[in-house]
Order: sequence, then structure tokens, then C-alpha cells
Amino acid sequence: MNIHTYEKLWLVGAMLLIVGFIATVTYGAVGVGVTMIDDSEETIDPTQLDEDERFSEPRVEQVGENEYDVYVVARQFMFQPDPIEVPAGSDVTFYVTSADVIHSFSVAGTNVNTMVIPGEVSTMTVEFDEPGEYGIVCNEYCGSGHHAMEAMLIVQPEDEFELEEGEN
Amino acid sequence: MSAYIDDFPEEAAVIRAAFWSSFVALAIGAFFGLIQTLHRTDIVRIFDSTDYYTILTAHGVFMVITFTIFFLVGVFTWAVTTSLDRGVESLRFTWSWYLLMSLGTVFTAIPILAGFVDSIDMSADVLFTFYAPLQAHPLFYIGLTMFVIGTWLAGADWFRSWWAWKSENPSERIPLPTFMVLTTMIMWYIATLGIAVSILAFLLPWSLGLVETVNPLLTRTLFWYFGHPVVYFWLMPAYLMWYTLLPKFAGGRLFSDPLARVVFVLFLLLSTPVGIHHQYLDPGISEGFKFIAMTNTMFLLLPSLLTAFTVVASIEHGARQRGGEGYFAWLGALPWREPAFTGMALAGLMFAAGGFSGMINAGMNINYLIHNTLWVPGHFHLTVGTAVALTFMAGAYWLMPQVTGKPLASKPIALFQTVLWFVGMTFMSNAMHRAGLLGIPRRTAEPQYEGFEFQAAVGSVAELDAQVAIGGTLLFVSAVLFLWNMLITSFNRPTETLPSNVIPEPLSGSDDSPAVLDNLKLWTLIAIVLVVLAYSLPLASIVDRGGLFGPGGDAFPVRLSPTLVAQLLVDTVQEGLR
Amino acid sequence: MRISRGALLVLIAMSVPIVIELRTVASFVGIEVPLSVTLALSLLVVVALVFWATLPPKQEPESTG
Ligand code: HEM
Ligand SMILES: [Cu+2]
Ligand SMILES: [Cu+2]
Repeated sequence: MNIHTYEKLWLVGAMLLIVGFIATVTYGAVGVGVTMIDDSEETIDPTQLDEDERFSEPRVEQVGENEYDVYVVARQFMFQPDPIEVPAGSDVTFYVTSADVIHSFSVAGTNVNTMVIPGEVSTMTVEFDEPGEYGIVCNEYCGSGHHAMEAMLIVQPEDEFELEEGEN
Repeated sequence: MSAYIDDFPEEAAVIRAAFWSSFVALAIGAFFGLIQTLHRTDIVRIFDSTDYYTILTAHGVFMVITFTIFFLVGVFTWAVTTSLDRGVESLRFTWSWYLLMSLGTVFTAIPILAGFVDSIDMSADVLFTFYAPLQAHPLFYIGLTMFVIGTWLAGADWFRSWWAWKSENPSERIPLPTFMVLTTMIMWYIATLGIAVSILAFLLPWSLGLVETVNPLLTRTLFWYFGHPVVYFWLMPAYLMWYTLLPKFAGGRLFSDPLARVVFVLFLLLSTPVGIHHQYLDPGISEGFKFIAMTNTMFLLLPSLLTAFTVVASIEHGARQRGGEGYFAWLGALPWREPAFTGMALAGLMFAAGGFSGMINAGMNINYLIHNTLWVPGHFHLTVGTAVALTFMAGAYWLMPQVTGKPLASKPIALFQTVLWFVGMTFMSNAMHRAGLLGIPRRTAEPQYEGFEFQAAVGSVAELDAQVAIGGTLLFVSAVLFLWNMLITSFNRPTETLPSNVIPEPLSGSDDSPAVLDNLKLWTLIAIVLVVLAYSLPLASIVDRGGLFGPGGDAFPVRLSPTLVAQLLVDTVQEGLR
Repeated sequence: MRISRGALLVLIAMSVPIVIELRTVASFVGIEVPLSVTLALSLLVVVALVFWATLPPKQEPESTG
């Protein structure tokens, strides 16, 4: 096959670019340790969330000194609990599942973003450095009220944070 | 030296029909596109926000299924008949797949559009991705199936032509345009298996009430098994025109036949085993599978980068043939007054921008920031919405006269139209990308939420909204100008002075390409092996975790019970006759 | 005309993304360009392009194309 010199150069350049991309993404995933949504949780029957120990009562729960678990249920067209209050500077692990159709759980403008698929549980651990308020939106179309599906995430200053009675 | 219609009058009629089906879809789609841009920016509202999703479903389906694929079958029929220099084997067969595709479109459209009428208990507000457990009326799935089977038969038609030609020309290389069509169709057969299984084994029986539940992750994964290669199915006819027509318009010829073949083989091999890159954020799929999809995706950049080289080199060659000189000055020697050339060149340029934002999407980490935000429609309106759509419109300025025998109604308006599309898309897509970075979701009817506000880093959200609305309006005007031009062209008086329908031989011809490139059986086999490698474990793991029919759950909207099925079939027939 | 009218139209179109992105890029380095300035700038670019394109080419006598 007759390949022009410039073609060869371009080909080599293209391959370098591709390998470079893969290396960068790999570094991001492995080196920096950005964790991804995976298959670590068991499946669950979306119609039986009432019976489930974690999701019958969506809540924030303290599980260690600086560790919190948040159990979130997404359903047409809301998130529970709402608002979600967590302290700054702690490891917060979200467990999110759906009671009906596919939704998402997305903290607007951040990379805290996951699909919420009925039958599956998404988990992710996040540390919020600064106190503040964030909007949570569902960014997967889930029915005619999709645009009304929102909630608030309130990151409290560490020393002011207190779990509400009955939430635990 | 004659126009296409002089050599193949009957095939030209089929191509005209396919083009018009495509243009009608474009007309409806563009109208809905305009409504969307004005609605979601809260500038003009004709519909309720709850109806937004009916509109969006129609826009998605009419644009990326009907508009693109009907145009594709027209172009492919033109490419195969022209390059083999023989008509189709059986016109009856050709018309029958066209009719099946048309009927499928009508069947799909009925339940979508019925969503506007509350008194009809029928809807398909599921968007073009139709993720279960959102459920559409069975007619929606039936229509899609018929449409896809129509495309399968179209592929069979082109293979028949090639086999017949081969038996008469046993020692010749497959002509390049036909080679492109055949490799694309093999990719399509492999890719559509995904939704064929998803619809026939799960969604259709489920919508008919024959099975109680489906596994939402499984049907979603099967959708994306199809959903990535379909992107290349839209793109390949555009590539075919960039490789065959664009160099000709520029005044030259394609740079390299072998490289073109390599590119199409790479697309055949790599298009399918990457679909999981649309599911980076899905629970129930392990990180490892996502990683493999990411790596494959990056390699899929290669054929597009090669195309960029070949196309630019061919255009430059054309410009120099026309007397162009210098490092950059040759650009001035190109036929910028020709709408077919300028449209394709601008489409290619936008594809470069779209490719760039696509590389960002493909990176798993950044994907978490922009997944399902407006960034994503911003990206694919550059790719399918411009690289493909604008190339098709530009191509039509040359092809329509070929298949009608009538000269283009207005060249200046055509030129203005292509440039207007480019400008409109610049506005709309730029603003969508930026809005996406702020976290503004796609597929939503409202510009803001109640509990909080999106804040722009530069300018304001209102400015971005205005930019989307201006861009969308320009695009709509551009689409109207295009359709008007096509309509008037159809009523023009036939002329004898059309350019002849020849595709110039490449500079470095097919003698230079290794024979193994034409071994379609080999490439098909490798493609299948790659797909099996990429998908067997993820699918097995999904089924193992959730079962074939999922861990339970209801359908939404809740509508049918098994006892209603008989009633439903009657309704369906009646509705179909209406 | 230095370039054909078609080429001029394309050049003007290409200037649109550049002017739009300029504003974004400027904000990266901390310069906030107001909308009105962007609009004025784009007008200026268009006028400059038209002016340049309609200038007679060097040396050769004016020819219209
Ligand atoms: C008149 C020109 C067009 C306008 C004004 C327009 C406008 C829009 C807008 C505003 C959206 C985003 C809606 C949302 O996410 O809320 C959208 C979505 C979309 N557009 Fe377009 N568009 C146009 C042309 C096209 C073309 C030519 C194609 C493809 C060939 C296309 C394919 C799509 C698809 C696939 C979606 C996504 C639908 C979904 O999310 O389910 N559009 N369009
Ligand atoms: Cu939603
Ligand atoms: Cu993809």
C-alpha cells in the first residue's frame, strides 16, 4: 500500500494523541482516584422499598467519627429526604435508588452525578470542603413532571452540624 | 456524460421519494426544534411544560431516525447504482423496503403525536431513547421494528447489486462508494441486533402485557449497544459524500483510495464495542467494563482523524488544480460560491469542533461533570445536527438536480442557507455547551428551578438562553429556506445542462490498496468477535444480577392489563386506518 | 474584489464563533467583556472584512468577479 509521508506523520500523531488521552483518563481514574459508579451493591425490588431497611426511611445517618451515610429515594417527581443536610469536611456516602423509573441524582455544576436506575443502587462517596447550598436536579427524563424534580443539599459548617431527632 | 436520471430513471424515482420522506421529517423536526428552543428558554410558550416531552420525543425521532436514515437510503442507492453502473436488481423489491420504512414511520408517529390529544388514550412520551420502565404504546415499538426491517432489506438490495456485479466482474475491486455502503451496512446489521432483541424480546411483549416486568438496566444497555453505532450510521453517508463528492466539487479528486477503505473498515470494527461509554454513570456496570469502553472509544478517534487528513488534502489538491497557491492562500481558490461545496466544508469544520467536545465526553472523569447536561445536545447538534444534517442539505443541492433532471431553484439562497445554518448552530451550540458546564440539564422544559438558581461564570444565564433562542430561530429559518428551495426545484423545468454524474478516480487508486481490505467476510468476523468480547461479560453480569426480566417494578404510565390486549389490537388496527 | 462574494460570506460566518469565544477566553484571564462591546466588536469585524475584501488587489487593475 502506498502511503504518503504526510499521511504517515499524521497517522503517528493521531496514535500518540489517542494513547495520550487514554493515559490521562487512566491517570485520572487510577492515580488521582476519582471513583466511578459501579456494581458494588445488590439489586433491589423497586416496589418493595418500604420493606427495605435502608430505603424505607430515607435519611442521613452517622456511621463513623467523620463518616455519614445518606439513603436517598428518587421517585416521580421528588427526592427523599429533602433537604439533605451534611457536615463539611466529612466523608459522605450516598446510596441512591429509584422507586419507579430511571432518574438521576445530580448536584448541579459538580461531578456528583449518577444515574438512578430502578432495581439498582448507586453509591458514591464525597467530601464537601466548604459549607454551602447546592441544588440537586434529576437530569434524566422521567415523565411529564421531570422539570419539577429537584431538592437541596445543604453542607453545614462542621461545628454547627447536628442530626435532627428521629432522623436516626 | 449524463445526469443520474438519464441513466437510471426508475431508481431516481425511489431516491426522490426517499429524499422527500427525509425532508418532511426535517420540516416537522425543525418546527419542533424551534418550539423547544423558545419554550425551554421561557421566551415564547405555545404548549404546556408537560407537553414539552411529547415535542421532544417527536423532534428526536423525526430528526435522527426519519430525516437521517431516509436520506441515507437515498444516497446509498445513488452511490451503489452509480459506482457499479447498474440499476437495482428488482425495482419492486426496492419500492417494497421504501414502503415498509414509510409505514413504520407512520406507525411510530401515530402514538407520539397522539400524546398531544388527551382524549386519545395513546402516548409514546418516551423520547427517542425509550428507556424502560417508561412505556410507549405498542404501536411505537412495532413501527420502529418495521422501519429497521426496512433498512435491513435496503441493505440486502445493495448486497444483491454487488453480488450480481461481482459475478460479471470477478477480478475487479469493489468500487469505493459501494465498498463504503457495504461496510456501513454490515456495521448496521450487527448494531441493530441490540434493539431488535430489546424490542422483540422485552419491550414489545411487555407493552402488550405478555410479560410483567423488564430489566431496565438490560434494555438500556441493549439500547446503547445500538445507540453508539447508530451515530456512525448517520455519519457514514456524510463521510461517503466527503470522500466522493467534496473533492470533486473542490475541483480535484480523492487523495487516497486505500486510506478511505481502511477508514471504513475501522468504523465497521470499532463502532459497536464502545456503547457502554454512554453508561459511565450507570449503577450495576462495573468500572472495568466502563474502562474498556473508554479505551475502545479513544481508538475510534483514529478513522475520523484520518478522514480529516484525507479530506483536507483532497480539497487542497482541488484548490491547486484550480490555480490556488501558497500555504493558506489556496483556500481562496476554492469554489465558495457553490452551496454544495461550502455547505460540506462548513459541516466538516463544525465536525472538528464537535469531535473536540466529543473527546471530552469520552473521558470518564469529565463525563461526570457534563453527563445529561445541555452540553450533550450542544455536542450532538454539531455532529449529527450539523456535520450530518448540513452535509445532507449541501449534498441535496447537487443530488436533487441529478435525480429530478431539474436545475436548483436558487443558488444564492442555497449558499446563504448553508452559511445561516453554520451561524445559527454556532450560537445555539456554544450556549448549550456553556450552560451544560453550569449544570443545566438537558431534556427539561424549564430554564430554572424553584429552590436554587444556576449562576453563570461569564455573562448571565439569561444571555445564554437568549443565545440558544437566537440560534434556534436562525436554524429554523435556514431549514425553511432549504425546504423551499427543494420544493421550487421540484417544480422547475427540466434542463439538459446538468453536470454529469461521475465520481472521479482517486489520485492513488484501488490498485494501491491491499486486496485483503475487500475481504468483507474477514472484517465481519473480526467485528463480531470484538462485539462478543466487549459485550458478553457486561450483559451476563447484568442478567446475573437483576435477572432477564429485572428485580421487579411497574410500567409508567400504567396503562394496560393483559386482558386488554385483544381490545388493544382492535384499537390499533382502527387507529392505523385513521 | 479580492475574494469572491461567496468566500466573503464564509469569512464573515467564521468570524462569529471567534468573536463569541473571545468573550469566554477573555474571562479565563479575568477580563469581563460586556455584551455591548462584543456586539460592537463583531460589527467592526464585519465592516473590516467587507472593506478588506472590496479593496482592489495589489498591482492588478480592478476587476469585478
Ligand atoms: C431547526 C434546527 C434545530 C433546532 C432549533 C433544535 C433544537 C433542539 C433543542 C433546543 C434541543 C434540546 C432540548 C432539551 O434537551 O431540552 C434538541 C434536542 C435534540 N435534537 Fe435538535 N434542533 C435542531 C435540529 C436538529 C437536527 C438537524 C438533529 C439531527 C439530525 C437534531 C437532533 C436532536 C436530538 C437527537 C435531540 C435530543 C432529543 C432528546 O433529548 O431526546 N436536532 N434540539
Ligand atoms: Cu427526571
Ligand atoms: Cu457514543
